[in-house]
This record gives sequence, structure tokens and C-alpha cells, in this order.
Amino acid sequence: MHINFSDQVAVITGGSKGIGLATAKQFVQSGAKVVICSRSQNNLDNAVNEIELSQNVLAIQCDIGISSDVDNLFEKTLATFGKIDILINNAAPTSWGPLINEVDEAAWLEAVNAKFIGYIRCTKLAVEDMLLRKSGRIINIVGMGGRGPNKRYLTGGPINAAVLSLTKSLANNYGPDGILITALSPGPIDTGHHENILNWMAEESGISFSEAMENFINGIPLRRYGNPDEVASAIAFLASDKASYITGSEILVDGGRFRRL
Amino acid sequence: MDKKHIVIATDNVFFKNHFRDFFDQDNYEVSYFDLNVEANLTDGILVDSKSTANIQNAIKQAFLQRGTVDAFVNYSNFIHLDYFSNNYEALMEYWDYKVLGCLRLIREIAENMKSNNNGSIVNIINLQSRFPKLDDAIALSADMAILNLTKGVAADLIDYGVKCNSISLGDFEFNKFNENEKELIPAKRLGQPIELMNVIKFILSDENQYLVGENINLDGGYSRQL
Repeated sequence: MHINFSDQVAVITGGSKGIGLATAKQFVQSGAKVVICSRSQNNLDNAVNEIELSQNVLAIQCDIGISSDVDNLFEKTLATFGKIDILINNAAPTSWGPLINEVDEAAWLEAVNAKFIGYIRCTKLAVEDMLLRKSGRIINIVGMGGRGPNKRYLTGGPINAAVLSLTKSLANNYGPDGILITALSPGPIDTGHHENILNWMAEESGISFSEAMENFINGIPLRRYGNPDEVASAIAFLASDKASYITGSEILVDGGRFRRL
Repeated sequence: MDKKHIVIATDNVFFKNHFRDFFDQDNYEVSYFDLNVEANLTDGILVDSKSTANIQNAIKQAFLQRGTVDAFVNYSNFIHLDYFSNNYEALMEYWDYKVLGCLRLIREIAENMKSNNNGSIVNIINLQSRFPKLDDAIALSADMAILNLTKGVAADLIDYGVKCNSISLGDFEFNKFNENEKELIPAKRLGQPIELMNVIKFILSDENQYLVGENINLDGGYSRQL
């Protein structure tokens, strides 16, 4: 499918690595001007070096947990490219592992600030500009823990559930203004974060790491991890004019792993 | 037969009074944790759900008299927070109070239940969290977070004989979301407090042994999705 983002401006938070970087690459290849942000300037520098047509990329150091950083991100975006057509809210993954007795309260609250409130910060500023043209796309990257609660995901699970609810609220409100807002939940994606989960699974079941991985993969109908490019393709579809009647929905890119209705 | 000891944490005085009417009978003893209440207005144990130390002190007070706890009911009010406000500190404080507060209360009270290898926990949330709208997006999102938390925690605590479930509350007298929506409720009326109390009573009873991590929509048929 040919997707054309010519003359489109996209802001991708968490855009220096993994799914965010893969999305930035696809968007640039499809003709978009792309703004990526990350807390790490070093990661941003590496990302810009990796992206072809990097003259169409603006990299801004930004912690979306800090309001003034987010203000600066959108001010610079508008000063450079003049508008925002697409926002990809793609915050850092939230920690997996602690049971209820092990949850670090300060880290839990920081995760709320960085993801749930961070998405709100970015969305408000993007919507402000999108309303001027009565057009825009916002895609919230959520995560399977929102729909599938887990005893070892007591930080990310509740926050992701809240982001799903927020996505629906935003979509209801801004649909009449031509702003389409969706959620996308990646399943097990090969971004290096999954090792921690497999270690816990191995420990709990008294099996080896490789056995845990084999069991896990056998639970995925496609029998493999996904890769960031596959998620980026789905994000690009949702952001494109091919998805002009999809709003408020959550798309799972998980190889079929989540089986509940 | 020993009386069951129930701890109820709430900031809704109407809910608390209905609970008192229903459960303060021969078979129950109830400890009231008053959340978010002015000190001079409380007739229970004043509890700040944002403080683990404060919760632990309240538990000591409640358990001094009764020793163990059999059940815990948690219900905090829906508070309107303006999505369009940029007061993110207030938003964080709400999450600290409501969602992390729920986790703290469960964690601390479940410790006692775990030592007895028995207990039942009910979180009550607002059914409207299934019907998001931006005006109330902050509070509705927090309720969805509690729904997720309930199911996540349930899978852990059942290893210790503790059952954790939730009730999504439709329109009740003390929880009215929209009076105009009464006609949209298939039952064509608001729920009665005793109908909620009966569901809580069943979940907390010894007859319920296999309901774990479940959510019951108590709404007169309002929510129709699978």
C-alpha cells in the first residue's frame, strides 16, 4: 500500500529508538517532515544519523514529564515546520516485574506523569494547532497490559488502561473537528525489553530462560516476536488517509497473542 | 459463629450510611476508614490514602479490637477534574489519592488476610468509565486504572486465599451521573442501595469461592457491550 505523507508534519515522542525510530524512518520515506524527541541527546544524535533524508528530521531533547519541555517541543516544531498534522504519543515503556508488595510508589507516580499525563500534555498542544485546520491524527501507543491486566504489571497495566479510556474520550470529543484519535497496542516486539519478562516467567515456573521463551512464543499464533517495522507500518496506516473512518479504536499489533473478545 | 470483620474505606457519606444500615447487624463488625474527610467530621478512623504510614496506623487501630480482617470494601467518590486545566499537580494528586491509594490500601490490608489464608476485597468503581467523555476523562481514566489494578492484583492475592473483585456501579441514588439517562436504563429506574449491598454481601460471603478478578456491572442493564 502506498502511503503519501508529503507536506505532512509528524511529531513522534520517544522517537529515537525502537518503535518510535522505525516509525520516524517510515514517515520520512513517505515524504513527511518529522520531529522526534527523546530525553537523551545522544540517542537523538544516533537516530538522526540512522534516518535517510535526515534534512527532513528535527530532533529535540524533551522529557514529556516536564511541561516546559513539552511547550518547547511544540514551539520549535511550529517555528520550523509551521504546523502539526500527526502526533504519535510513544512514551517510554513502563516497568514490568514488581508484585503489589514490591511496587515503588515514587516510580509508580513518575510513570503516571511520564505516560498518562505526558500524553495529555502533548495532545493538548497538538490539538490546539490541528483545530486551526480541522484536521489531524493522533495515535497513542499503549501496550497490551492495558487490556490484559497482569500481577507483575501493576504500574504499566493501570496506566495503559487509563490511556485507552482517554483515547476514547478524546476521539468522541474531537471527531466532529476532523481530528481522528486512535490507540495502538504493540504485543511482544523485539526491542530488547522483553528479556526481563521472560526471566520472571522462567523463575516463576522453575524453567530455563530458553524454555520460557519457547513457551511464550508458542502462545503467539504467529509463533514469533514482531519487529518495530511491523508496528510502524500499522502506525503509518492509522496516520494516513487510508484510515479515514477509524477513530477511538484500539488496534492490536501482537501476532494474535491476545485472544479475548 | 464469629462475626466477620469488614473494613470499608470511603469518602462517600451516603454509601457509608447505607453500608452501616445493612452490615452493622449480628453477623458483622465494621471498621470505617474515612478517606478525604475533614478531621472534625469523621466518626470512623481518619485515613490518608496517600500515606502508607497513615494507612498502617489506621490498620493498627482497627485491628487492636478485632485482630483480623475478613473483607475490605473500597469506594472513593468520582471527583470532577477539568481535562482542560493545566494544573497537572492536581491531576497527579488525584491519581495518588485514588489509584495508588487503592493499591496501598489493598496491599496493607491484604497482609492481614494473607496471614489467615482467607479474605475478600471489593473495589467499587463508576460504570461511566466504560463510556468515556472528555469533560470527565481524568476521573473516568482513573476508574479504568482501578479496574485493571483489581484484575492484576487478584491474580497475585488468590495464591494466598484472598479474592479481589470489582463492581462497576451504574446510576444509584448516591452515585447519580446523569438523571436524564434514567430512560436509557432497561430497568427504567435508579439502583437501590440495598441492591448494591446484596451484591457486596455475596462477594464477601463464604458462598463465593471462585469469583476472582471479576467485575460485575451493577447497572440495571445499562451497559450492553460484550
